[in-house]
Amino acid sequence: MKRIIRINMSKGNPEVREEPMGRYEKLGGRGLTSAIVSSEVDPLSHPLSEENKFVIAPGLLSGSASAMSGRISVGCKSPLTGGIKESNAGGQPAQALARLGIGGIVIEGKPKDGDIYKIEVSKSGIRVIKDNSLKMLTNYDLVERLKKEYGEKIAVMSIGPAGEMKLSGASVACTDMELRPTRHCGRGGVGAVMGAKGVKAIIIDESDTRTLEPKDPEGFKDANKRFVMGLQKHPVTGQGLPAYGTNVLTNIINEVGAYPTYNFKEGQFAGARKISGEVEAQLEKERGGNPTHGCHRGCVIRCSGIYHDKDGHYLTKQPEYETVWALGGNCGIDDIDKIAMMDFLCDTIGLDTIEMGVAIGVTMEAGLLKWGDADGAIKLLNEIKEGTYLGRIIGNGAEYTGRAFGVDRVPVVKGQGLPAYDPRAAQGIGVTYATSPMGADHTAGYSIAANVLKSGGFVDPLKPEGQVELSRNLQIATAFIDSTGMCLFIAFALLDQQDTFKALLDIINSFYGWNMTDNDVIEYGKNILKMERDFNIKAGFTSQKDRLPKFFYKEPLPPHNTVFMVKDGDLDKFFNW
Amino acid sequence: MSGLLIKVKLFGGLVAPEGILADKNGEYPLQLPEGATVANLIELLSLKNKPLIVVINGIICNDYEKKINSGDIISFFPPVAGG
Repeated sequence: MKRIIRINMSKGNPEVREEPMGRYEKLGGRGLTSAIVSSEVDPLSHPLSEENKFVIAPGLLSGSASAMSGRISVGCKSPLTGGIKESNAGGQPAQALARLGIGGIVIEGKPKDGDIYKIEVSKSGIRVIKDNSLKMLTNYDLVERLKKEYGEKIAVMSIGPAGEMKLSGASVACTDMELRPTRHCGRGGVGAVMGAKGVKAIIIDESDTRTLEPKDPEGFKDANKRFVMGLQKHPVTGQGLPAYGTNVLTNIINEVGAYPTYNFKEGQFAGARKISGEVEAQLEKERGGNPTHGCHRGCVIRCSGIYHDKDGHYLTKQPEYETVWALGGNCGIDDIDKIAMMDFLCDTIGLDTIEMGVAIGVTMEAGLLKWGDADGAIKLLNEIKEGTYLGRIIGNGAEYTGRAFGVDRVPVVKGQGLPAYDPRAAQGIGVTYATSPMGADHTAGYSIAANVLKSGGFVDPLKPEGQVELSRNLQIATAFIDSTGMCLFIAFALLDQQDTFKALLDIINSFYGWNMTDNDVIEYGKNILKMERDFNIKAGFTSQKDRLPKFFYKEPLPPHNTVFMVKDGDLDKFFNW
Repeated sequence: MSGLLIKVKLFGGLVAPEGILADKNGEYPLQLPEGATVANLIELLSLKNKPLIVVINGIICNDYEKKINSGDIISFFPPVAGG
């Protein structure tokens, strides 16, 4: 039986309680974090106050033998957006927590003394230990310390200096299969909330645990086999992603003129080819890295990788498309090694690479740095680590940075930086940026699939027609997938192959003994979005928050010279279902 | 010189057949007969029967019978995704 662990950090000696899943029984991942935050957190509370809760939830299938089930969600009220937040990552913690029978961890309250704590989670129980010797350690240094103390059979969730400084761009790091802090719940400043709770690290030891048993082992085995075959036969999940990783997108998004360059001024970048996934993969092969690598146990897509420097030494994990765009093309930077260095710095300081890239782009817009100044950008990231006033401004994200430097072109929705697709050249993703309860988040409803990649049909990216419906359907489906613990990249195969979608349903039903249907999936997703939307409304969000910044409606984007054309009235109908 | 002068870009591991040479930017300048279609070009590049995304001058092409114009920049991708 799964259970929820509640840890109250307000007590002198943090109090740990365990309780059954209760009313949250059928929820996992995003469904669980959003249900707990929406029903237990005052929407008007300050995100860094003791009233906020920091919720961790492995997905419904995490801990099982199902392929791709290693995503972990964290949820809270976001210091970046002021609304509800769920951010998920790969790595090992989801599988480890689920194998320990943990459906969720809810960290409540706030220590009054400024001490920091580590939380040990193992079969023998939960221990919350004060350990000020860990203060201000970077994620990589922290994990090295923890390895010496706990050995290598652990998974770690942690914050770096950015989280301890409670910066709104702070992430929560999750260790990968090599026990490196490379997978991040990046968006929305979730690391700042973990920092506000005084928690530096959660060390999960899954020793003496076993893979969770399905209710119907034969049915489960058969469904998982069909599911894996479906992923392997699809050209994206079977070939494109394993060979080149997510950064295979750089060239195609650039070619269709949707690659935001120079803080969303142009839709194509002259240096795109130099920082593409094809180049990354080649360098990884030549330097002894690895372009085809799984970020968690049970991954069969293996889109992550290992990036070495010019001397053949480990530098960072393979920088993802969004990272390469944010810290690269968006800032006019075309040096892949320097982008990889920035990826490492963000991981070790504990920062969202997208938010940092967008914030640095805003500083360039302000004239603080020149476009393309990679060394200047690296210096800014190091300033965040040092906690200088300038560093703290950047570390609080793009909107805060724009305000500090008097910039009027700040690409954010609900305070969160826009990711790597310009909504003027891919109108569907603009609907997702505008309407997602998470703020500007491409993963919330990845309309690029149908706008550009011709996965799940085709909707003309340069026209407004059909985009609201496209984004709505994707956001509903995504809310469900984010609850299963499945990597969202399975969606490419699910969208194109009905039998792979059926296999996923069969995995869930055979694991839990449920009879979930297609319609139940839709209702599940809708319920999550509704909870999230309701929280935001109570937090003071109006429909005016569901808009892109004005310049997207006024400044035509070369080369297509289009503006964002989806009407406000149509955006307002998004939640009418 | 008669015919259509175009530029082809290949991405995501796609390679041109022997005899079709890239310029210093890794792009392929090609001359096609008047009236050539996207399907003709796909055949010339030995990409027939492969799943592809075709982009002509920044616009996604869904009609392989579309006639090619001189000066077109045509990019080919295998199915890719990420995000």
